[in-house]
Amino acid sequence: MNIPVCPLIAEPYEIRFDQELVQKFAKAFRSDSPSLPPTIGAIALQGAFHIINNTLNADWRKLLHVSQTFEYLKPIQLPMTLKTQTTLKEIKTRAQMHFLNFEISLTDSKTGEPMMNSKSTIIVRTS
Amino acid sequence: MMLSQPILFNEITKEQIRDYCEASGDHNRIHWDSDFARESGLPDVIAHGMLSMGLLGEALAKWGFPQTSLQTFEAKFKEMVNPGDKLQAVCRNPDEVRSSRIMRLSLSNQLGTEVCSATVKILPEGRPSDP
Repeated sequence: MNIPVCPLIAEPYEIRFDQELVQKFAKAFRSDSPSLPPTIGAIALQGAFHIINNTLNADWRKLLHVSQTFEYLKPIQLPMTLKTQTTLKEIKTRAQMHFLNFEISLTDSKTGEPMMNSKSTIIVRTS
Repeated sequence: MMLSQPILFNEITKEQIRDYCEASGDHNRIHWDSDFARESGLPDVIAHGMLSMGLLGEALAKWGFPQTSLQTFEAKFKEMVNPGDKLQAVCRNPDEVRSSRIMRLSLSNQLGTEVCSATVKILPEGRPSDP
């Protein structure tokens, strides 16, 4: 695995949050609720996956998602397009594991207002 | 549904895990390719940790706490979830939620093993009248 200099800030990109996306999550949860799931921000983890694939070149078989936090700043009104900014804050290495700490901010693409923050810790085993 | 009542989910299936791949965009092969998963040392495909967290989100909604009532939602993924697992969500501190605005959640499998724990901070206006 490549170890980049941190913080590593990825190119921002936009995600559309709409009823179709909500329905996909509802189907996966086997839910009949049409309401916004609190973990819909999982869709923004693709920014972290992009860094893992293209910068770190990590072996996905050795990856483990160990913790996840969402902070809700403003209610998301569907449909809405959010700008996603992913940062690999740091990599700590101990006991043959790399701990990757990602932070993702989601802002209203029209107004720039912060809507949601996400923090993820992902482990990559080195052995 | 009363906060003291556990929420039971239907058995996790491979199809459900594939559906979560589609929803989340996480197409890591350990979630949909049985051969790849076995080559990786797993018994078969495994569910995403985020699917476990999502099911706790479903439990929150059933207890009367929709996404708009939440301030933060923090989860730790403790054990793998496999196809065939039957999961159950419980709130560990139902009597304290009203005063503390903190919910401590646990998702366990049919063996009683905790697969995911979570701490949820509720907005002041998100408190239900009778948790």
